[in-house]
Amino acid sequence: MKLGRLIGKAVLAFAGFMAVFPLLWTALNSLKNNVDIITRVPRVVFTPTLANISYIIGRDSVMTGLYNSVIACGVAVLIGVVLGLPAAYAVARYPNRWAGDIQFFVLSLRFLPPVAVAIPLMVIWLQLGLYDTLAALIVTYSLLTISVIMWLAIPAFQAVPKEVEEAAFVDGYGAYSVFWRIALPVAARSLIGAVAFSFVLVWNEFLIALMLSSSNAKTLPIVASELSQQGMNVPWGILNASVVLLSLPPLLFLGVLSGFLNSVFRQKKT
Amino acid sequence: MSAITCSHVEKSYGATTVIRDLNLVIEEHEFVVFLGPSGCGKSTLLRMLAGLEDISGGEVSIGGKVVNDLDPGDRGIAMVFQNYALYPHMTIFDNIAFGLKRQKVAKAEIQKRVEAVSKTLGLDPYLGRKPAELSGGQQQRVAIARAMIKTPKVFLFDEPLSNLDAKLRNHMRIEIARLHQSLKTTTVYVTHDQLEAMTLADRIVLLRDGKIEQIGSPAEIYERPGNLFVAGFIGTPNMNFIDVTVGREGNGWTLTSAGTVFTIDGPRFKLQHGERAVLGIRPPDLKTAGANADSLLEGTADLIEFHGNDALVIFGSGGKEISALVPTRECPAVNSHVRYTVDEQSMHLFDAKSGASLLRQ
Repeated sequence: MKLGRLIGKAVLAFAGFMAVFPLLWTALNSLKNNVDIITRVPRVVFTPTLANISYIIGRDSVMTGLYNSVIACGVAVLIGVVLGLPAAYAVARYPNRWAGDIQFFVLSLRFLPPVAVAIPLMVIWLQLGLYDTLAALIVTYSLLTISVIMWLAIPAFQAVPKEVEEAAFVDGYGAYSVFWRIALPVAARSLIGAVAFSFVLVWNEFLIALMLSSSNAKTLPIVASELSQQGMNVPWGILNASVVLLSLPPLLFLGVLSGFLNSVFRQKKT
Repeated sequence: MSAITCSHVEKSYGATTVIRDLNLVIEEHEFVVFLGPSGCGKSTLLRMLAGLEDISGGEVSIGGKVVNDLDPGDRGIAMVFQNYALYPHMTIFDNIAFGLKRQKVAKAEIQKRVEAVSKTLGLDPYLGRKPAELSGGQQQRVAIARAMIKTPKVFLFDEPLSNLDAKLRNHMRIEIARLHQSLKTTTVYVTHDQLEAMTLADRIVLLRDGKIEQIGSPAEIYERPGNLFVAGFIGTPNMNFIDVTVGREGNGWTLTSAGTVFTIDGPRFKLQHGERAVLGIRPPDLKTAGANADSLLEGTADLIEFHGNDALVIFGSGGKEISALVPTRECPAVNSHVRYTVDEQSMHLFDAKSGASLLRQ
C-alpha cells in the first residue's frame, strides 16, 4: 500500500512537472538575452533583462493585435453567452422535433476542417466589403462560440434535476424566472467551464484569423507568428516574451472565472 | 364545497392513453391517498392537479375554480417531491422563502413566517445552511416547510418518503399525520406503499392502468375489496385465492375447490348455482381447525416465516400454495401436517370472469 501510494505520488509529481516546466522555462527565457538562451548548457542563473518584454510592448503591431484579440474574442464570447445559453436551455428543457437536428447541426460546424469554413467566409466578407474588419472576425468567432457553448451547455442544463425547476413553477415562477433563478445558477459550474473553453478556443484561433485579416484586424497569434519571420536570426527572447503575452489573458480570464466560481460555491458557515 | 373535483379527466401522450375518464371528488380537509402499482398513472394524475402536466381532456377544479389552463403557481397548491427538489444553490431560509418572495410578501413578514414554520418542523438551527449539508430526513422537512409556508388550499405529496430509510420513513409518516391533524389542509398523497396509504388516508383511491379500481376508507378497502385486483393489492401478507365452483345445497351453498368443499350459509353474497368464482381468504383469517371442523384447508407446511408475534405458515393444498398467519405459539413444525379453517364472515368471493366482488351492497 505504502509503496503504491509513493509511486502514485511520484507519477503525479512527474506529470505536474511535465506540464508546468515548459511554461516556467518560457517565462524565464523571456527575461534572457539571446546569448543566454542559445547556450549548450541551459542557464538557470543569468542577468535578467526586460528588453524582450519592452520590445514586445513597444511595438504598435503587437498592441493592435492584443486589442483586436481582446475585442474579437471578448465580444464573440459575450454573443456566445447571450445567444448560446438560452438556446441550449431551450433545447435541453423544451425539446421539439428538431431538437436532435439542432444539436447535430451545431456540432457539425466543428466537423469541417477550418480551411473549408474559412475560404467561403473570406469570400462572403470580401463581397460584403467587411474583409479585414473586426466586425467580420467577431461574427465569425461568434459562430464558434455559440456552437461550443451550446454543445457544452445542453448537457449541463439537462443535468439540473427537473423537479427542482418544477418546484419553482409550483412556487409561482414563470419559465424565464426559472431559467434565471434556478437553471443558470444550478448549472453555473459547468456553464462557466463551457464559456471559458469557448474563449480559449477563439483566443488561440489562428487559421481563420489569418484568412480574414490582412492588416487591420490581425489578432495576437498572427502578430506573434510574424515575429519569427525577421531574418535569419530567430529572436528567441522576443518570441518567448510574445508567448507570455499571449498566455496572460486566458490565464487572467480563467483566474477571474474560478474566483467567481469560488465565491458562488463557497458554503456559508453558520 | 369540495376542494378538488376531477370530471372525465383524460391524459394521453400521443396515441398512448395513460388516464381515461377519471371522476373524483375530494372534500375539504380530506387526506386522500392515490395508491397503485408503478405505472398506474397516480403520479401523472397528481402532476395534472399541480399543473406540471397538461390535461388532455375533462376538467379539474380546485376550490371551485377550473384550473385546466392555470399555471402551477396560480392554483393554490403546494407540492412535496419524491427527491425533495430543494434549490441546491440557496440556503434553507431562501428555499423556504422563495415562494413568498414571488408573492411579494414584505421582508419582515417573510422572516416571521419562515421562523414560525421552521420552528414547527425543528429546522431553525439549519436556516443558514445549504441543502447538501442536511440529512435526507432534514431535507424532506425543508421540502414540507417550503410547501407549508404558502398556506395552500391543497398539499400535494408525490411519494415523499420513498427515498428515506425504513426507520426514518415511519417517523416522517407520523409527522405528516400530525401535521395534517393540526393544519387540516386538504391533502393528496401519492404512494405505492400500502402501509403509508392505510395509516395516513381518510380515503384511498386505488388506481390501475389509469382507472380507479376502488375508492374508500382504508377499512372499507381492506374489508370489502371491490374486485380481485384490490383484494390482491391490499393486505400483507397477500390474500389467498382459491378457484371454486358454487353449488346450491339445501338452504346453504357449497364452494367446491380442487382440494376441499367449503359450506356456507351465503346471505352476504349474490350467488348462482354452477357459477365459477374465486374465494379469497386473508392469511390472518385462517384459524387452526378443531377435530371436527369443516371448510378445511389442509396440507404439509413447506415453509415457516417467523414474523415476531406471528408466523406465516406456507403449505400446499389442492395444488395451490396457501399461507396462514398464526400466533407464534400455535406455529407448527416444518413438514408437519397442518389443518386450517375459515369463518364465513371473513370470506371474500369474486366472480371468476369479471373479478368483481360478489358481496351484496
